[in-house]
Amino acid sequence: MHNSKRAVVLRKVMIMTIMLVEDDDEARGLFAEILEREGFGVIAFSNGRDALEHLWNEEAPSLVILDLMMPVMDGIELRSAMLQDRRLAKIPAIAVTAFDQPATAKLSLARVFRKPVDISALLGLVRQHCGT
Amino acid sequence: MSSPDFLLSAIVKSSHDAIISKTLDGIITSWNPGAEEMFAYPEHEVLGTSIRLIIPHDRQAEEDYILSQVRQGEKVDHFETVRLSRDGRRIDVSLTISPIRNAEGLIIGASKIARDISERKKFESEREQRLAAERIAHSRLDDALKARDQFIAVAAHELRNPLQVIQLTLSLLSRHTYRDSEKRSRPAELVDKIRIQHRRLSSLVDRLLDVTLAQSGKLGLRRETFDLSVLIAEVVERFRAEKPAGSLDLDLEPGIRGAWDRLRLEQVMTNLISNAIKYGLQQPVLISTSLREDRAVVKVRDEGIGIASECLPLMFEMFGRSSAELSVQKGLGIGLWITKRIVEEHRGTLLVQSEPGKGSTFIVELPLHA
Repeated sequence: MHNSKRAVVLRKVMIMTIMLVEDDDEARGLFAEILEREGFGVIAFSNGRDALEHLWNEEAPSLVILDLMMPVMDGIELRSAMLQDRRLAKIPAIAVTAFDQPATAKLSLARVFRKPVDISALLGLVRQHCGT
Repeated sequence: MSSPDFLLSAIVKSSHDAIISKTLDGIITSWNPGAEEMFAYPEHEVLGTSIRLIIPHDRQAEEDYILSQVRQGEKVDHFETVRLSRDGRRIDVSLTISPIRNAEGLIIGASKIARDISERKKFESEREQRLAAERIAHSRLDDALKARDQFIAVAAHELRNPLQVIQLTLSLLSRHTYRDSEKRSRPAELVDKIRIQHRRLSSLVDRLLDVTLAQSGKLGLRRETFDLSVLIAEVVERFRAEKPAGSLDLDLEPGIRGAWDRLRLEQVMTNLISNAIKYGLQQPVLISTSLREDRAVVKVRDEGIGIASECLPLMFEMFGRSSAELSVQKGLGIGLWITKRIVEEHRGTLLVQSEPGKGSTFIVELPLHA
C-alpha cells in the first residue's frame, strides 16, 4: 500500500502535464496522441471556457497549447483571462492557428504556429518549456 | 437727370440681374433689360401688370409673405425660389427684396433683384448626384472588401484545419511504418508520397491566401526577436527530412538576432530553398548567413539551370516564371512575388544573381530592427 502510493507520487512528479485546447475533434485527438507518445500527460478541451474552468479549479499544467479560433470561448479570450490571474499568467502558452494574422501581440505567447503546425518544431518548443 | 441718378440708371440697365420695382400691391412699376432677358417679357408688356405673372401657381403664397415683410419695412435677402419665364420655363432664382420709401419715409413699394441661379443649382444637383453615386460605389466596395476578408478567414480555417489533421495523421503513421521495419518499406515510401503532396498542398494554400492578403495591402508583420540562423537551420532540417536528391549545405553565422516576423521569414526561406532544390538539378545547395553592420544577409545558392538575363526582371512578378521553369515544374508562380513582398515589408532587399547553366544565388538583406 505504502509502496504503490509512493509510485503514484513519483509518477506525478515525472509526468509533465500539457493542456491542449482545440475544437477540432480529430486534430485534438491526434495532437494528444503525439504528445502522449513523447511521454507527456495531456488534458484536452474543445473550448476555452471548459479549459478555463479546469485551470481555475485544478492543478496548473506545465504548458498550454491552444487553438486561437474556437466556439464558446476562443483562444484569445482564454489566454487573456489566464493573464489576468496571477497564478495562471505564469503558465507558458503556445498558440496554433489557421489564420494569417492573428492578433496575438498582447497575449504573451511563447510562439504562434500556423496550421499545419510543424510537429518537430512544436515538440522542440514543448520540450524546452517542459524541461525534458 | 442728375449725375448720380444717371449713374444709377446705367447700372440698372447694364445689370445681368433682373431689377424690378413694384407697388405694395405687387404691380410692376419698372423692369430693366436684365428682367427682359431673364423672363422674356418686354418692359412695355409688363408695366402695370401684377408681379404674380412670373410666379408659379404653387408658389403664389410666397408673394403674400414677401409683400407683408416689405410693408413692415423688412428686407428679404437671398430668398431662393423658382420663377416663370414667358415660355413657361422654370428658372431658379435668388431674390433680394427691399422696401422703397418716398421723401417722407413712407413705404410705397419694393425693389426686387432676381439673380438666375439655375447654373449653380444644376451644378449643385449634379454634385449631389455624383456624391450619392460615390457613396453607393463606396458602400459596394466596402461590402466587397468585407466579403473578401471574410472569404480569406473562412478559406484559411476550412483549408488549413483538414491539412492539420492529415499532417498529424502522417506524423503518427510514419512513426508506425518506420518502427515496424528497419529497411525502407513500401508503406513508408507511400507515406512519404502523401507527405510530399501534403506539403505541396499546404504551400499552395498559403500562397493563395497570401496573394489575397498582399493584394489588399494586408501583409502586416508580427515582429518578435529571434535568431535567423536558428530559424534557417530548422527550415533546412525539414527539407532534409524529405531527403532531397542534392545536398543542403549550411554556412551559418550564429547569433544573428533581429526583430522580424518569424512565420513570414520561415516562408521566405522555405520558398527560396524549395526553388533552389526545384531548379538545382540535384546539385548541392548552399545556404549561408552573415552579419553586415546592422543587416542580416542570407544567400541561397544553387548550381542548377539558372535564369536567362532577359527573364530576370520578370522573376519577381506574379506568375513570372521563366519559360525554362515552365517545362521543369508546375506551380502557381507567385512564390518569389510574395517572397519579395515579405522582404520589402521588413524594409529589406531581395536580389538575384544568375547565369543560365551555372545556377542562381538569391540574396536577402534584412535590417535587424524595424
